[in-house]
Amino acid sequence: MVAVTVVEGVAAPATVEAPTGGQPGRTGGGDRFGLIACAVGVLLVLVLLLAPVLAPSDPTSIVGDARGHPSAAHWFGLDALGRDVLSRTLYGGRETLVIALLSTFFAALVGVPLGMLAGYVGRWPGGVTMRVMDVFLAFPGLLLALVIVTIRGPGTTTVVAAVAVSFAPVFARVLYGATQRVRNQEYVAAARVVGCGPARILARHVFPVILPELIVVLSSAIGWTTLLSATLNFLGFGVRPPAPEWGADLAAGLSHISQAWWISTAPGVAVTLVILLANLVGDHLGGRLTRGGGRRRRPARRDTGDAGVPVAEAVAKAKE
Amino acid sequence: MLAYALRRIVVSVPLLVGVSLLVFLILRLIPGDPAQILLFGANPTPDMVAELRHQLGLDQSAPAQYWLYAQRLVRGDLGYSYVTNSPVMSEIAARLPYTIELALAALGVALVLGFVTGILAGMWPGSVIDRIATVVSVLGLAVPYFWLAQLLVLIFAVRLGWLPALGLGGPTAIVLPALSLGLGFAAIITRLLRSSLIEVYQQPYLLVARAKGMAPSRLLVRHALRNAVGSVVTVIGLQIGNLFAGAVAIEIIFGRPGLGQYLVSSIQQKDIPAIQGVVLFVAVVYIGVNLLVDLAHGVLDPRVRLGWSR
Repeated sequence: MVAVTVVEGVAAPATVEAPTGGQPGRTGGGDRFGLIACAVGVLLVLVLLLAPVLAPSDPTSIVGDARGHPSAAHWFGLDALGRDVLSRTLYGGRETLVIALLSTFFAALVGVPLGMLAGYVGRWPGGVTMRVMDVFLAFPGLLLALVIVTIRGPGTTTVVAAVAVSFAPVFARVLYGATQRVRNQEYVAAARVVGCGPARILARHVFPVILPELIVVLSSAIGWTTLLSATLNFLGFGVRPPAPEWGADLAAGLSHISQAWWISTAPGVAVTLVILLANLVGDHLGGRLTRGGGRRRRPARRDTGDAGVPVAEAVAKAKE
Repeated sequence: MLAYALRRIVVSVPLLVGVSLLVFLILRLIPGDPAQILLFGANPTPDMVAELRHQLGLDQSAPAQYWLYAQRLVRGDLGYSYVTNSPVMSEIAARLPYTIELALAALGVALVLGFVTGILAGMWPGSVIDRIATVVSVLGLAVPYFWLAQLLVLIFAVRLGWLPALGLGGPTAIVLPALSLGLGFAAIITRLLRSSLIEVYQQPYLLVARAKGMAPSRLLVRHALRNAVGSVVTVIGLQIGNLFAGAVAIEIIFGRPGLGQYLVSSIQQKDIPAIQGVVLFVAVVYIGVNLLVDLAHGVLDPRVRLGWSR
């Protein structure tokens, strides 16, 4: 019992300080939205997983008139060939989300250890690593992805690789900054003095401390990778035509926008929803984690709070 | 200031070398022999292939090839298009104005909308204006620009018939592409400016200025904005690259013959020198713009050029 009170005693001031120092004007409300966003996100993933059960028809089979209006039988209408837009959106989301999740995973798999090592080792090896990352970051994300598409040729695995390559340097940047801040803390020095090796220090003493920051970046990254993979599919470098995918279906709706707006509406809303959820969840986690676990540092800095803002800003913040 | 400027410029040089190296590697990493791609369909004899490989410098070692490539780059020579056989530099120059026009117009949209709403929301957090601005900007950040473009076309071109949806005809043709590309960027500026202003308004020096009876407008312009705008300026620089990248999809949607459209058609046609040229060009512009932005930031905020951590 005593231990609990002590912990609460330490945590309490940080919680009280947060509204004034951190995010004035958006206390409470942001948290509620964040929780709702988490719930909707889980629901969305469930809906996409259950696409085979929920979809009224096969996403690639023609079930009615070309460009049929939304109706009781086809809630979101029919596309240019007469395929059910709702079914295509449900199945297409699986494709989009799998690409987004896989590419986020691979980007983190490369970027996180690289950034942590560079940040921990420092000096010239760390410096050189980050200069190389800077070279990658000198290309806007989409351009770097298009370079990968050029090298590998179009296809879904290419899109995963392209998106992962574009975002790995972002992860490296953010983790580099975070690790550098932790590296010079006394307890890390103490661990070194006691004789812990670099691997143990990074895994046991550095990683848990920077984990909140990583989680925030990860959740926002789902939004960024969704947008980028949808963009590559929109440009025609992803799935092959009959297969449904949000970006590709948005491109297919483009030429029929004047007669059949509903073809691109459902996938458009879907992409918006995923990015919105990712941003809100990122915001929510950012607020929670820096307030709950951030008592060792300054009163909740703005840096993880505004996770809704895309890559460029995350990089800008990491550079500060 | 001069020392700061020089330091920033010197830092850019290895970055440029790295960028050129990466772009050079595209050619090496693409499966297949460029000479074979070039002679595709011509039933080339081995002699013809060898001759062409020699002409392109492909028979030399990789470092020697890069050295040649770098020498040509310094002279502004980006090579010759596989498709049209004309210099890539002149192909880029012919399309650049359309992309610049689009990027500048979108930047204008973003700056005007972003600053107006960001300042209004930041000065009165919690007000009705702030709430509307917050909801709209959170949505604006989430809507993919290539769907927003379709919505704008549907509303303003198809339904209302106010603005043209396609092509370059007349000054109104830029409005929809610029809005499509600029609105998301405006949302970023709004959010960022709002939160920096709120933070700055809580600083003691502003309280003092206000207590001394300074007019709110003067307080904003002279004291609050100058301090709040720093992080916004940095992000504007970083977002310029996204404007060029976003131009790829926007130019295709609106049928504008700019760099983005050229890049996508070059990728489809495997026109490697053109791809390398456009990618390198955009990266160099991006680095240049960010250099300028950093210098401007240094002028605005002495702490930056003196290297004080914020």
